[in-house]
Amino acid sequence: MSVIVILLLASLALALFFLAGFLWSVRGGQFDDPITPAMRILLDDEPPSAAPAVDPSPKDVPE
Amino acid sequence: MVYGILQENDLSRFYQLDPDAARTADELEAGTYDFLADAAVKRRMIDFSDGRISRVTFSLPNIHCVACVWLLERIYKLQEGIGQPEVNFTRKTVMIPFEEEKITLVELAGLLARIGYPPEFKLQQLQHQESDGGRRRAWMQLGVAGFAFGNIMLLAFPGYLGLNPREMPWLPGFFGVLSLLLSLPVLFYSAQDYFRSAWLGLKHKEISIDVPIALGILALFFQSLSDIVRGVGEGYLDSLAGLVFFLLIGKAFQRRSFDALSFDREYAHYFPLAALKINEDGSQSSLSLDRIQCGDRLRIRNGELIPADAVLMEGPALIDYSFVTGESRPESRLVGETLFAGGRHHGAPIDVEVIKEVSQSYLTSLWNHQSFRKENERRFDRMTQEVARIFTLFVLIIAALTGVVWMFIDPSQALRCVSAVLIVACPCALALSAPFAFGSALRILRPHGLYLKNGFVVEGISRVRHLAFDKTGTLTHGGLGSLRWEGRELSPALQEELQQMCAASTHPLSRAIAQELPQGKAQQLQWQEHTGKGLEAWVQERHVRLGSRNWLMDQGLHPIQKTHVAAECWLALDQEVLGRFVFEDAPRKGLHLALPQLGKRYDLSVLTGDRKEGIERLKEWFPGCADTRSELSPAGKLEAIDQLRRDGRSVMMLGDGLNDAGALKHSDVGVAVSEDIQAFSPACDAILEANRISALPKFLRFARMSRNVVLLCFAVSIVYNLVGISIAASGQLSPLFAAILMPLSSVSVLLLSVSGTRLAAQFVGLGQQEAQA
Repeated sequence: MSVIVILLLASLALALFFLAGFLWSVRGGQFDDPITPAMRILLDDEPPSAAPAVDPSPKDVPE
Repeated sequence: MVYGILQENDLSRFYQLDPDAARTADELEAGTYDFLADAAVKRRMIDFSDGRISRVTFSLPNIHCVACVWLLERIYKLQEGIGQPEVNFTRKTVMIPFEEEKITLVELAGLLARIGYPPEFKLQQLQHQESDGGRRRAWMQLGVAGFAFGNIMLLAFPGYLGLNPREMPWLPGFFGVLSLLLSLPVLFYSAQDYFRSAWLGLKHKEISIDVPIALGILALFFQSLSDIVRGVGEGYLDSLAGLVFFLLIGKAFQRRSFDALSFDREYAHYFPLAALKINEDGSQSSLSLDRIQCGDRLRIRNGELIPADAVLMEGPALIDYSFVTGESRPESRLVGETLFAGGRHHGAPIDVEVIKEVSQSYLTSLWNHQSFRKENERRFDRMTQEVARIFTLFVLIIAALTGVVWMFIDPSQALRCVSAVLIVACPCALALSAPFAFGSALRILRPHGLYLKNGFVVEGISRVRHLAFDKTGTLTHGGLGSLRWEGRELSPALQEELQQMCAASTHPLSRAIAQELPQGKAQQLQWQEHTGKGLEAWVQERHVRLGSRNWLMDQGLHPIQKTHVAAECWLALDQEVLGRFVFEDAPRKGLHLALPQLGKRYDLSVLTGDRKEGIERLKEWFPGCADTRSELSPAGKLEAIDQLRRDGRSVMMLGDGLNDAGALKHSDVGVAVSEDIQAFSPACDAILEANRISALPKFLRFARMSRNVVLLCFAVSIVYNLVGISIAASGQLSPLFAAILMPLSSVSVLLLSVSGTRLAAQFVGLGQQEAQA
């Protein structure tokens, strides 16, 4: 039955670990801006220069 | 131009990301950002500097899509010396590290403007917002409460399920001590705001909803403490952590998330950071506003605000005072006349000599006027406060009665029963219903173009009995009004030529015409602007003249005399007068239906700074609107609002300009109507997109229904409490029962309030489909 104490302490330690992770991320500013990072992740890396980007049609080009 | 810059630097993928992202940038006047070189301004702008690398945050109102983020975070490719920038989309800011040796702040701002994101600089921007600290703290409080809630519940479960203590008699005690340890951070960290606010309230002899909450939390804690120490039970610590956790979720839900909008602006927000000073030797330097002195000579360029009262030295000037009066028709001023601060100049640069310092100008003194200053404390959570007061008194009386009665039956049980009453009466559900209902109302209204300062504004709106409107910019289109062509039909080719000609001019009338006409291919055009008179151009051997009636008549042309209109612009081709462009006030779309509908339930007033003639037209458009007052000064509007409120009516004011700012502040609910919600709005409780004003009847109806949803939730949570209290008063409250009843009441009220407001929104036609339409 005393195994319950070990299990309990282990689960608490795990939870504490996650709590520490959460507090660390809040302090690090990860919760400050919930929108921009979500957009950033959708942007691809630069396409390789071997395949140059297609030019937009001239009428879309602002002066 | 933007495309050229991007193409050169291999960033043309920008246009693939979002075809609509194509940006245009106005020609940048040299020296626009020179004031950033000023040491004092620079020191305030730069967030951080280690001597080599500095970091600056610009506010860029033009950020609007993913492609913007992409481009701005790659501007380091455009010029050497720029580090990896970081965009904050919600706040529309970009933080840029840069090396001062390689690129100056002035060049950096110029670069942003050239790629289509002119940074915005405002006098008050320099006081940085605290927001980050408070928000992070709230997240951490929530995290700690959630952690404690989960783990304490884990420890409490064996007790509820019948832990067999015979095998290990020390186990319940061990669990109890562990839960006690876990609950300490909840009590001292997560819940501290409730104690603080309850204490503050009591100090001001005010019983807020936080008083019974704080009492309940304390009763829970001390009852549990004594139970665990004496070894008679496992206590109510899971209920305590759960309660705090739910309350904090409610708070997080209510927290507003429009960072880019500001509801508490002051006049200083509208002024630029610095002005261009002409020194005695003719050289130019930039001067931050607070250092402008009487006698300084300033140059005001096209589109700039006049920062201080001044005399025009070199002109002519064309000033639009829409910031101050709401009347946006520009007025010409000649050399020697006085210009008031707050006017915006259009046209060729002018020179002025300052006669009053910024802090003593007409506009500023108006702002500092007693009646504008007077803090008008508005409490929107009045409903919750009233219920809380009655509820708290009721609970305290029951607790006292329970104590007295148990003293006679069994004195050893008295204290226990009193604390049980306090525990179960903790108005968690009561406290949650209003934030959740109004918080979800706020979310529902946002896609419909109504942005509220906080959820409780909904309650304020639901109580309104009287609506007061400003005219120009609110009921009618702002600016010059709508444009109409009167005369012979124009060929498409001529329209394109006119467009090109007008686009080149800085006069507001020509700008407005250029916006209306179709844009064609650019062609060789020889043109000339006669300031204050008109434009003249030669296109393909034809002589085009566009300008005032008098100017054309002076040249021997004969425009036909027509009815007088607000503003007009005649067009002549060679020797023939083709017709005129007419600018006139026009009501916003849908208002002719909305106003009579509103008139049935509310009293309506129109308060305007306009002349009487404007009012006559208004009556034609909206026959139902009886109470119209014209020629009101900003202070006059404020006085009118105060008058209405003294008559005991709850007034909602809708206005747009700085001239309405006082009235907005003094009304029960001040709604700023704005064409561009990012750009300009006086201090207010809500910002409404101008083209959504016709949906006003729906908004008001929805607010009233939301209030009823809250009342319903109050009723439900009071039933819960009555059941709980009667059990507690009879001395039968077990920890298990508390652990079930308290989350159950919170969650059910929460669901009821959120789904209730959603249903109400569907019912009045403010659902999600309508928002997209």
